[in-house]
Amino acid sequence: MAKKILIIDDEPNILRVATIRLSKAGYEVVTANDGVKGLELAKTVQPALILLDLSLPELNGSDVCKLIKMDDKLKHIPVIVLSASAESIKDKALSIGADDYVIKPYEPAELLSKIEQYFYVKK
Amino acid sequence: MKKLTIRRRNIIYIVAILTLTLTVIAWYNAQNIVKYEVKEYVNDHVDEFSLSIDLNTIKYVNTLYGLRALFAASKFVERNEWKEYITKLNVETRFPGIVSFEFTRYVKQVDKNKFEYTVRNDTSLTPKGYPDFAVYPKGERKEYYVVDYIEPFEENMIVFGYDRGIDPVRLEAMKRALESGLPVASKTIQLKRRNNEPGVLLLMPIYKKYLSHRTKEEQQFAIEGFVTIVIHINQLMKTTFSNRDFHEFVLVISEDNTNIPVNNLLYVSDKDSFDKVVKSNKDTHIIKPLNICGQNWYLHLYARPGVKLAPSNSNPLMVLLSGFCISLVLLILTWIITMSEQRAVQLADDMTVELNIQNKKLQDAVNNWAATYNAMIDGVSIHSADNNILIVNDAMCELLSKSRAEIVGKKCYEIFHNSNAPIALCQAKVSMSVLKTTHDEWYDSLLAKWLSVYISPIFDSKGNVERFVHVIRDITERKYAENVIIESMRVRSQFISAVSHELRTPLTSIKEGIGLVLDGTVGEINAEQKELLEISKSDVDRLHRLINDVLDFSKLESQKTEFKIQEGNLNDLVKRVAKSMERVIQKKGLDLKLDLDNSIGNIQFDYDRITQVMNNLFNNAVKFTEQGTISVSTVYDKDKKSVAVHVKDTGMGISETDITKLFKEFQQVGTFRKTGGTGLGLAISRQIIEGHSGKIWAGSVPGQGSEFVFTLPAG
Repeated sequence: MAKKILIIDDEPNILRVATIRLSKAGYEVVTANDGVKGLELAKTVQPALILLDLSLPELNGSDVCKLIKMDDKLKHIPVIVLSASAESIKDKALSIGADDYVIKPYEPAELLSKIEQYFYVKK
Repeated sequence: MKKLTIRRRNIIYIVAILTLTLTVIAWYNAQNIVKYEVKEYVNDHVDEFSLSIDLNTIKYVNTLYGLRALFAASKFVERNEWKEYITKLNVETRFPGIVSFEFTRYVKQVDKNKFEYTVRNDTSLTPKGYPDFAVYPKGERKEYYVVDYIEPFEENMIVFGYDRGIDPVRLEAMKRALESGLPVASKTIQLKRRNNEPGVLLLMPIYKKYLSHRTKEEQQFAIEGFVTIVIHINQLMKTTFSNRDFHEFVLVISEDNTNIPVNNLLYVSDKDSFDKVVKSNKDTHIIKPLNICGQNWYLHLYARPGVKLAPSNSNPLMVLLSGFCISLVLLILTWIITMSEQRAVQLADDMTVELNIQNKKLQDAVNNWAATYNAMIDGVSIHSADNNILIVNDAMCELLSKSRAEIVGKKCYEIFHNSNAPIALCQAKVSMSVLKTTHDEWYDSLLAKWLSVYISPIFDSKGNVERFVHVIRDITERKYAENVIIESMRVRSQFISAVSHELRTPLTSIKEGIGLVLDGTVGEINAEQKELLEISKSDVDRLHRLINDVLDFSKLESQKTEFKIQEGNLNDLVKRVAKSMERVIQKKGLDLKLDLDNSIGNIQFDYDRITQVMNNLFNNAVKFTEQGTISVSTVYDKDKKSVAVHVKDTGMGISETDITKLFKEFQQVGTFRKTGGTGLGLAISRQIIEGHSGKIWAGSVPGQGSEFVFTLPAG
């Protein structure tokens, strides 16, 4: 059964190309275009991994990540921050409890390898 | 010794003239006093002399009366009686000066022969009589006054028979006697018998007995003759004054009453001294008239020089001498004083000149200082150690918007901090404790100005802080400008950050879209489509790098980037970067040569950032080299304590003018643009290396290759 990946991003174009990229790679993709929806979806869908943009309407990415990591039912889910902001994203990602980060525009190979490594561990 | 000035010479001349004049005046006065005293002295004595003469004269005149008595007592006085009477008078002893006693007989013309006869035959004294007797001078005259009786006779025989009537002087005296009936003195005559020395006749008329002689006619008729005394004045006077001392005086008797009697001198007590004494004592001599039987004589009494006087301070010679001595002493004193005064004045003048020069210098210095500190844009004030403001310049007044009077004398904390006591964070205290200039900047809310303050202590000779110099500059504008710059930098950085973020987002979907199509994930594409998409992908990647570099450069430029400086091995870094480039180098058919200096120990640097620089340099080298070798070497310079990394290629090289532009942003030179570079790589590298306090530069020989070098501090 294909792994479920939740992508939370307010950019529909990005959601679309990312969905195609990950679907073709064999993942089941669920998307949310704001933080609140993303958080609810995470709870309901229980994805295997979350790709999280930091600049989100309603609830920003940082808070979403923190809430996920505070939620006992969700905190086991790896969160990879996907951000266009180049401002010390590494530090930022670590500070909010994210597991990894990828800078936009991402290299497809880099993104896929970072996702895969969590599932290899699981396997 | 310097010459006296004319003014001082004049002083000496004046003193000399004054003292000499005073001396002369004193001498003159002393002389006058002495003259006066001498005159007084002479005056005191003149009466003694005149009295002697008077007494003697009376004595002599009395003999005339005696002789008249003889005639009165006798019916006819015979020649022998005359002799006898005279002899008994003891003429020589009692009446010195009398040449002779004579009886001058009045003979009328008609009686002359009879008279001559009588005398020739007078044998009363000599038995022969006087056979040669004749009246002389010969000649017939109306009347004769013949010298008849003479006693003593022998010495005076010459006048025996002499007619006195022919001599006007004698005749006049006899006429006078005849009229007065009294003793009469003749004017002075020359005594032939005494070498023509002056003499005088004392006469008294003898009238015939019983004849009246009240009228002139009666007298003329009754006259018998004249008893006559011939006096040798000189001898008379000598006798008169035989007992007198003439040491002090010179006595002159003259018929002349002028000051210097030269004519008709009857007697001079000291002929040798006459000229000298008389002429030099004309002011002090006393003239006293003498009346000798109707004749006016004058007694001149002169004091001899150096007449002994009562002790007096007024010795003119002493006055003169002491005057001259005093003058001399005064003159010398004046000269000495004047000389010393001149020296003192000269010294004072010199000192004054020197002082004026120094004053001028000082004034210049003060003026220069005042002009300088007032011309300063910075506010300057000098404070005492106990915080009193002593001096402020114009700029300080302007800065504080106060007049100088409002500032000077106040405590500095009153003026600068609007406080009643020194504030806790007083900068002067800091300056005093560290004993050197301190600097601070603050915003003064009262003045609404940013101030830059330098406080420097001024030390006294013992090294204690005596004063402070405050130099205050209004840096409000600078601060505003700085803030504007900082703000603008921040805004720019924020803007670039935001822009890059906004650019990245669409770029993500473009890039992924192209990628998905290109790698065939969403379906087969033909060769032409693939070529186009690959061009698009290449430029999207380039756009991506460009955005990254712009952001990076912006952050570095705004110095927002904090380097993560850690200890690391530079050689390892070089090796790792070289390794990562290996594939590209090989692919291009180039050689890689590493020459690493193992003496480099671990040094401090930001690993990622230096890696970024190395990548940039490596990439450039590979990019612009078509064949040959990429040489990378590291060199440790012990002296400069630095490590240098050289990246050398055998590429196309860079022209000299382009080299200078290399490290500026967006300065792609030559063919760079064709290579897909962003134009920011070397600018970013420069920012990074300079951020590490290192240097980066390049050298090139066009056509042969380039060499890029950067250094990092080591140790």
